[in-house]
Amino acid sequence: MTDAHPRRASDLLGRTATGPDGEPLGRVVDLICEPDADGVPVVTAALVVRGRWGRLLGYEREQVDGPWLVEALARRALRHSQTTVPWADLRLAGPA
Amino acid sequence: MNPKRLLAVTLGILTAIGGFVDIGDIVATSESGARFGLAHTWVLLVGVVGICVYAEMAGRVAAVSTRPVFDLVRERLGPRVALVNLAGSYLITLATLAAEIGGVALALQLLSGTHYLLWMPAVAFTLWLALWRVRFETLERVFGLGGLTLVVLVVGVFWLSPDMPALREQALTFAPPAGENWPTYSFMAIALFASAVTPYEVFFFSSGGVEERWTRKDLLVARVNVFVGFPLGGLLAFGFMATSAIVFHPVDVEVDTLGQAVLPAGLAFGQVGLGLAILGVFAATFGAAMETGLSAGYTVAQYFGWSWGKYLRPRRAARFHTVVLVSILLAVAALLTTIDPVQLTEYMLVFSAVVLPLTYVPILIVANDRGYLGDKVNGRLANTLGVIYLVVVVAAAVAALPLIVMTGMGG
Amino acid sequence: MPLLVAFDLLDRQIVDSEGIPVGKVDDVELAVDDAGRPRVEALLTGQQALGARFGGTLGRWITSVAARLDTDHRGPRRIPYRLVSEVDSAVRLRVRRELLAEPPLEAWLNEHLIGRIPGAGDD
Repeated sequence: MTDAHPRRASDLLGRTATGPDGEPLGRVVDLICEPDADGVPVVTAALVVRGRWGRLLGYEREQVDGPWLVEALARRALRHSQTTVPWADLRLAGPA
Repeated sequence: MNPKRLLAVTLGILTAIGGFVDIGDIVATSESGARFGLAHTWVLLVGVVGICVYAEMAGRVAAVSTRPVFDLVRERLGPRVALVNLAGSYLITLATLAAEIGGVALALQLLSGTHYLLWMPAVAFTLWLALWRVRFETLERVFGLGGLTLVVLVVGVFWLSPDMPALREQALTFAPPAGENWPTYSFMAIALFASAVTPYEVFFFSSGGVEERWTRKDLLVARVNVFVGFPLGGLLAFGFMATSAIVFHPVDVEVDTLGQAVLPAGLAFGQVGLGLAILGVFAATFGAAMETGLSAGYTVAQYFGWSWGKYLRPRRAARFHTVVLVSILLAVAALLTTIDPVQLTEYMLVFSAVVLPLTYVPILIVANDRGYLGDKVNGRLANTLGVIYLVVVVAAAVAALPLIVMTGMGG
Repeated sequence: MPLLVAFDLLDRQIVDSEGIPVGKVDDVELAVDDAGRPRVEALLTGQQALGARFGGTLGRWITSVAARLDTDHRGPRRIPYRLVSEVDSAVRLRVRRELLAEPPLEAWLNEHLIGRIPGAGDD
């Protein structure tokens, strides 16, 4: 990715993300990590959401499951706009 | 049965006291009984069920994950929205704390004749001392059980030999009686409901569960606390409502002082009854003062992540104890302006509108999170009731503001 | 199960090996490895980190008040990620609180207020 070395997670979260061709994808709301050989979490992808909702109340994980009314509302706000972008493909626009 | 296990419900009882028979509620339910008869009984029932639903969830989360409610608020809503909740909750809790300290002083005034403002500094100091040094469990037991003395009013309902069929008809009428209008009736209903489900109850109950070091094995204890404590609290509130309905409603007298609220106990049982009622008020308001004083510390400390709790030595939770101390001082300062403390809590109702949904939504969501609770997530009943009450709470919040304007604070 | 930085770490309570609260995860420090990927290096906790994350006037005010109490100018409290033993409903550390730097506000209050009131230290 083409960006100065980030120092804190808050520098990355909330930034506008664009794909490899420069098309806007939305805003970064989370960073997905996998543990490396030493168990240290390494960022492999970013969760990008189009639209205004940053905080997702937890429904992006399968572990949170119901009540159906709240979950249905939350998913409706997220469903069509959530994408996972591999870190290598991510371009970040200016400051949050 | 091991007597110690019986005492395990005192956390629930103490929490319920703060929600149903604190000074604001004592005056409000008595006022309701005098003006509307038993026409608000259904509100007490709705309130009891509502707080049971959410306190059970909060208690379950505290037992299984050891996380108190405000941790969930910040975690799920984010620091900015949680700060809005913190500001509103803290103001409500602080105003209530001031009212309770005033209430204890008023009870002492009734017993001794000395003006309540003269008692007030001693009450505040004793409160601070209790929160500084006395063990959590001891406080729970003394004031939880002491507040139960208010049952004298419930017994008084029957002792006064009221016209039972008439009372039953009042209780089953979900409308204002002759001489009262719908806006005032509705405003009072919302005020009574909001105080039954005030957030500081769940903040206190879940933090108390952590103070008691609940684990998964204590789920039953948590549930017994909820399902014994809150209905008892509602029953005690009903005692005030019904005795006022029997004594004051037929003669069209309005109740707005503590002295009037306890009068029926004197009418039923003479000096002894009156003494017991005032003692009960003293214990209940002191218990509510403890609950709100500690809640003020819990919410601020839990928002920022600071160490908190009476289970730690004060040196190990200095920021928490500072918040408690400062809150008591602010409460005393508010009382010294001779503002009516009970009126103050009614104004704070406005903030409840914002704070209630911001408190209950995170609880409901986390109660469904398997990462937190494993297999102890909500079943269908808990979820159905949880969603219903969320809707009720939001509806009450939406209706509160225009009603406040329309009725001029229930005048 | 992959770790989500914002959901699993940010704004979670950090507790020590005994379950005593240490602080919130107010921010997460990242370091970039040779492949250009960020990795989680440390947890940042304290009002200085929270204020920086808030931004705006409120954030600057929080940060400046917190910085004034930080007499050794150490910046926000930093907990290296290797001290984390697991992440579930809280971020649990391998060590006890006493081994970490004392929060500036706590130290200041102990020195000037709480520590001076009788009964603060004993149980």
